[in-house]
Amino acid sequence: MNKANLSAEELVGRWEERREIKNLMGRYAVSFLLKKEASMFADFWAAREDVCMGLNDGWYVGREAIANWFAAIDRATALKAELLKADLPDKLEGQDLKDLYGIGDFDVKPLGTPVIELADDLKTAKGIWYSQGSKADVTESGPVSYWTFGVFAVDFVREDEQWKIWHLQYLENIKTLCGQSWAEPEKPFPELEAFAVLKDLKLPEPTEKVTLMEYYSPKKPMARFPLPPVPYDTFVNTFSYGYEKEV
Amino acid sequence: MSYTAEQLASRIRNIRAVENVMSKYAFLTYYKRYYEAVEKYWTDQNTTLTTNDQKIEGYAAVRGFLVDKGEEQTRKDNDVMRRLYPDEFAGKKDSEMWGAGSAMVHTITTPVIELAEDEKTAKGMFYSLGSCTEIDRSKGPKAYWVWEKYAVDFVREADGWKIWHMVTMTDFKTPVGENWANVNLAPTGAYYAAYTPEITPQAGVPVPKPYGTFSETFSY
Repeated sequence: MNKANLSAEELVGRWEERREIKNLMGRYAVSFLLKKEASMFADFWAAREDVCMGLNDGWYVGREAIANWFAAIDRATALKAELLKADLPDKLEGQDLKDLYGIGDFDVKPLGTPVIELADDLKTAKGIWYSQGSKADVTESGPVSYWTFGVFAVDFVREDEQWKIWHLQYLENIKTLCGQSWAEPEKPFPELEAFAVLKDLKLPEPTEKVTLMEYYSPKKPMARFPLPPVPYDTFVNTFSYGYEKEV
Repeated sequence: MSYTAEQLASRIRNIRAVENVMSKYAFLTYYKRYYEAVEKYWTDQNTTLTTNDQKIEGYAAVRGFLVDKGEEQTRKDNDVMRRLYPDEFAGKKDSEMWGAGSAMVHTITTPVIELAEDEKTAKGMFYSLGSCTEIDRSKGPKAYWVWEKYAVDFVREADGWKIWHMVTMTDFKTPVGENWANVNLAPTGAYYAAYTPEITPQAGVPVPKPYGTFSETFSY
């Protein structure tokens, strides 16, 4: 697109769309922070069937697979509240489990280094962000905190006059206990009896199990993150951040 | 709400200005230019600054907290650095070593910004990954992670956008090298609870939503 040919109205309209996309992703990040996984799929994702989400271990393809992933996080959050309540009776005795939902958890995925491209036809957009995050989680060792560094690469689609997430990859290449160096072998914390059940807690398997990202190791090749978006006219003429079945 | 091209262009200019005010303020505090930071980027009308454990009301009090206390602390830190590193700093004036050994980096990320339809005010929320090197009286520089949310009401004045109400919500302040699930020096107070494994995630204040004019929305 030759932007010199766009009217002032078209140019400022495109800027407004970019702003909405930035706000959408800002709200998505805040929702992780506030443990809103129970509603995040409905709140942010497109209603169409061909949505997909790529994590380090593979692809969750279709609405049901992604909804199940969010539902599993929701259940895990509820279970962790139960375990912490049992482990801290002097502090949490008598409190309703509903009020303790999310306790011990803190998942901040700040969004930096944005590259956003809006299609010429305004029907789709693409964005990539580096997230230098941190997460406190309740694990088999009790509450611990990690550095979690990775990339969000997202295709957005316009649906009912709003931007929605269509394809999303969140690929982490660093997940390291805070206080330790990710360039050195991890020294895990000792497991605690009260939280042993969490060792077997697994999220749903991806629909397509394939390694999209390996965690950093000095002995492994450099991580290959998705490429930043490039200007494009319509979605069929650019690459997708979604799952593409190999043929 | 639909806007004309002229209105949209005006909104772009104002939202960019708000983003820049927040980042410029962060840079100036990093450089310990407190007077300039407050003089240029805070309004002197009905200002408030809320931290985890205190609410400071009124421009004089906010200025006293940010500028006077900030400068006083820097002078004390300079004394410590002169004592601990005489080869480098003995005999130097404050102005020659302002802020030596310290670095208060408060990055501004994850923006959610809403400009009022009337373009007189704006609201923003940001996440800050802070890395702060403070001066310990006996040991000298000590590095901390200080991660926090900022929620800000901005007001447009004749000479530009200004910070009106600011809420800083510190989730953790932890020495670099420690696990912040176990060691968190950030205070919990009447306005915000720092992270501990015993609390649920804290919203603090709401994320901004689109609004017409300030009286129709909540205040930070």
